[in-house]
Amino acid sequence: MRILRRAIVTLTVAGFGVLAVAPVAQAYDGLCDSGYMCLYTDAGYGGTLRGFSNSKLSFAGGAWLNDKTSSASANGGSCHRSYYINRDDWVLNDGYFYLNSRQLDNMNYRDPDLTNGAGVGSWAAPANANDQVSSAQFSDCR
Amino acid sequence: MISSHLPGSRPSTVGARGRVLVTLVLVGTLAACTGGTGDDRARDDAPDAAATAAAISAGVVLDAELNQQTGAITFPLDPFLPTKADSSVLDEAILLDAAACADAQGVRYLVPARDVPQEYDQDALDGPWTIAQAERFAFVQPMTDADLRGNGIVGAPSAPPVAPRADRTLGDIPTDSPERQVVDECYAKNKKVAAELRAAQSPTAPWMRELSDAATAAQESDVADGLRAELRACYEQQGIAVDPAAFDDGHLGFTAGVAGADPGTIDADQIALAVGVVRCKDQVRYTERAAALVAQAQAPLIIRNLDEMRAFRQNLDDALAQAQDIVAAHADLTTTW
Repeated sequence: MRILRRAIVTLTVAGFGVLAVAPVAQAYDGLCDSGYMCLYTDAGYGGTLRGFSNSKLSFAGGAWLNDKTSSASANGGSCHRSYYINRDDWVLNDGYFYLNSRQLDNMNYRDPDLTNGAGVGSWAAPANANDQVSSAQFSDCR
Repeated sequence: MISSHLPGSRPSTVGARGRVLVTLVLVGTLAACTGGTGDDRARDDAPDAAATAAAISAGVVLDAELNQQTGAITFPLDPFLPTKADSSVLDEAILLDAAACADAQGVRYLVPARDVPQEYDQDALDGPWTIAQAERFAFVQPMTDADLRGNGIVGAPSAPPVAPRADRTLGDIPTDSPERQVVDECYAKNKKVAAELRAAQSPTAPWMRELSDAATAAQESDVADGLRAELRACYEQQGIAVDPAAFDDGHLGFTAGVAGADPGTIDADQIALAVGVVRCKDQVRYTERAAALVAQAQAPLIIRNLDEMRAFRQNLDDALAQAQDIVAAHADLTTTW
């Protein structure tokens, strides 16, 4: 299991502005930092964390987290929903699920194991969403 | 040629003005549906003509509907799925159920009652398809201004001045506070209701997968390739730079197969490019024809799975009724968005 990154690293994703990889307060608790949606390479919120804030994220083009997400959590600061999507272009007519923001809604905000479905959507239980997320976006923002 | 919308993300009634009903000739068309190989398999897969006629008589729509006024594209699958408004009501009921529980224990906060902005009714299909869409969103997926900002879209409109809010919402209660603990316990108490309401809006049955695969097959068909070739020819004629890889892949996406199109930016150049795309789409009737291919692929599967899909819809309607009762019962705990 890879070591979680602790420093804030600012990366540039071509065409989509800046995204920041956020630290988490504790390993494996699935409590994503305020304002972020989070993806983890391992079940149980383990492995490598990637958190996104204010970036219409796509993993397309070989980004290292494409099709490698095994658990997820969401904590949008002004956006109630975080969508995790099968297609790499945010189109929702294939597999997808959404999580609500922990701080804004306190419900449906994380899932430790995507193999048995997650959140709300066509990837809800009992579907298998493991290692299939290829894009993500915020919705229902204020 | 896949649309961008949240499944069912449009109102169940569509305005009469500006609607284009893309009508298919069902007999024979259904018997020759894509998704299989060989005429024999197509015939074996074709639904019973009587069942099809009966479904149509009962109000099942097997055509694609395009609404230029709203920017909505409605496929045959969509009426069976929750709209964005439905989804918001179901979420709100869960939130209010917990808020009422917390309020009874002295922890009072209000739940934003969400209207559903019209932007969520809009669809893109391989990029923008109306001039209004192109002028507002360029190649960006239609969404509210707030969502544009939330997703970091370059060129998103600035936020309006925020009036100070007197109401306390859940976001105002620190996550590590004793009050939040009370809220957590209330959510734990209403887990069953929450799970039911969430499941009701989650189409996880095999037919959802089949319909998605059918739409993909429609995208990959020879007919779709031919349609894309016509669009490409128009681009070249109009001096719009083509992204050859997108056409070779048979996957245009939000950038509509245009080199230099950026699904993360709205500016004058992107808008001008997007308007050019829409004009070419109009010229070759791309959107109607592409939508018809998806509808054609969906139609036989809907007929075949109609009982299960109706059961899903009924369960969803029952959940909506339950949710609306909860929302009405706790209207005093709602505030504006």
